[in-house]
Amino acid sequence: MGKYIYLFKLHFIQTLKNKNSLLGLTIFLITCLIIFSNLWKIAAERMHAIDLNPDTLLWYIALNEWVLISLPDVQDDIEEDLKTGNLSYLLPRPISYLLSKFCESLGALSANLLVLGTVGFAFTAYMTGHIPNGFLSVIPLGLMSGILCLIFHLLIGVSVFWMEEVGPFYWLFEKLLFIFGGLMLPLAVYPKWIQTLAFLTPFPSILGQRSALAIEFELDSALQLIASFSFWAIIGITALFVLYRKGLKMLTINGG
Amino acid sequence: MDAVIKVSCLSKSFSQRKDLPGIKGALKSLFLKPTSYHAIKEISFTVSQGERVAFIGPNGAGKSTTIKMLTGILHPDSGSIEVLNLVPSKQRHSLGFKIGTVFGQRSSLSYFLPPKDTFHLLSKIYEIPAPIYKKQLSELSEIFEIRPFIDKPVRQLSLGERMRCELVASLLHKPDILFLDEPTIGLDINAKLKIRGHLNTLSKETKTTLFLTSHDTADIENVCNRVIILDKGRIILDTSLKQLKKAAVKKKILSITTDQEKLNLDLPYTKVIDNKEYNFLCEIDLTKTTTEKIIHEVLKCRGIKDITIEDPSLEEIIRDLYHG
Repeated sequence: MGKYIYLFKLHFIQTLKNKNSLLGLTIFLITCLIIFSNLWKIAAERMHAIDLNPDTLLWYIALNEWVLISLPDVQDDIEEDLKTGNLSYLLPRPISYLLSKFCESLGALSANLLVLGTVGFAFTAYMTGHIPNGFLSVIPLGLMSGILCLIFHLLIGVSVFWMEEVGPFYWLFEKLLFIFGGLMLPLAVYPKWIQTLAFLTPFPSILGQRSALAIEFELDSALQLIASFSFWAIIGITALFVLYRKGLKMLTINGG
Repeated sequence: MDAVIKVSCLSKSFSQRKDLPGIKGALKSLFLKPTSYHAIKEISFTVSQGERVAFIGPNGAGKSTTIKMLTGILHPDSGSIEVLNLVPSKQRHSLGFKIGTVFGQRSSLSYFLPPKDTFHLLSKIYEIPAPIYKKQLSELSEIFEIRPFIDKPVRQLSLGERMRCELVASLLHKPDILFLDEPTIGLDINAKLKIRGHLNTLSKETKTTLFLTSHDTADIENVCNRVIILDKGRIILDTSLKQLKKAAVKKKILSITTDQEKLNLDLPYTKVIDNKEYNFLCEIDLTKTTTEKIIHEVLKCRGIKDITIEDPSLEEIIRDLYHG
């Protein structure tokens, strides 16, 4: 287990040392906050949704974008490892490739969450002049939704054994996350049937539900959210290991 | 000596789908059945502990496929492999602790971190106890002379420095066999010399078995003592480097310096390469004549100032072998 913890630590440090990348992500986060808060303000006015307070909206967007922008592109790393043949170099090592990828990306995610959270929340607090009451639940819930997203990213990455390109799958996943997660517009704005459909997926818990809970904390909803995370994580991990084993078997028989 | 690698009647084939050119071809390709391509055809060899083997062949000969099977990444169709008494396809994880790999075009070092951090990570991956790791790192740092830049981020290292660190990274867990795939690719001549020197020192001091693939014949000449040549999935030659030079040399290069601007010399079974500016250069066909006979003829000639007879370079010998 020590090797996986060290891998996490190493990538946490490596991400922190990559200052240019962190600066780029921070600028992107601030830009997103400015654009989306204005966009949503106009949308709320046009839809006469007076209950959508601009300050709450900015916190909601900040909490969503915080996790989304912090996510490392582990699916691209897997694609590259397979395409460049780097996998042949990594597989003989006495370490699980899949777990090592998970720990590496978790290290990068944690460092990004730390830096982007500090800057993003400071900016949002300055703009709104307040901190929401469920703010303390932000850290564990943000990390949980980030981990769930990582599992799905790994799943998309593993698809490269069959598809050779992860781009199309990732594009689909990201768009579904944006729509059903309530990033483009709050889920409450959508028709009832889309809301029902969205709640059958893990996306609302990854973004909208989690962010809403951080703004207005309720213990029951928090427990429900944790149960949802656990449910989707079990499904994701099971699918991940089954597909990875099948993919690896294919690789060892017919090469990369 | 004990055999550390035992390969017997090893075969491997891949199924490949043909891609035809053009729009029509692309549509046709969708309905084509995959065809089988034999990458390795019943090869057998053994490698003893401490041997330094060059495993070479033209592109597509099956070198990488064989190495992947030896390290457990690919499973053979038929035949058997034993590496350090383990079956790689079934015991890849256990084998991982006993072998090291260096691929010249890949990097095991983290780009933004100093090599020391990656070494520490590898000590965790290979479960090396801290005191042993410290001792091993200290010894390898000495052999490969990496102390001056061990704390510099990898992105600031030259290619030669990086490759020396790659070698240290692959040796930290004291592997019994080191697989090297083009370890000097892209390096300048000084860096190449250093790497070759370090590999020789390592082999002498630790008796690590080296299994090297390289297109640079100087790597083979300076590091290895045995050559296995692979072509189209079959072993076409498996011999010692000395024997290769002796047995496979079918020609010699004769160079004469004379006091005549152009030498008027007609030697049997030779091919004149150059004859101008007081130099005469020709190739002697050893399948039809002997060096002794040619020298005898040359000495009849007047105005000879100097004579040199050389073997063709290893590169030429290997090229001739590839071309049958």
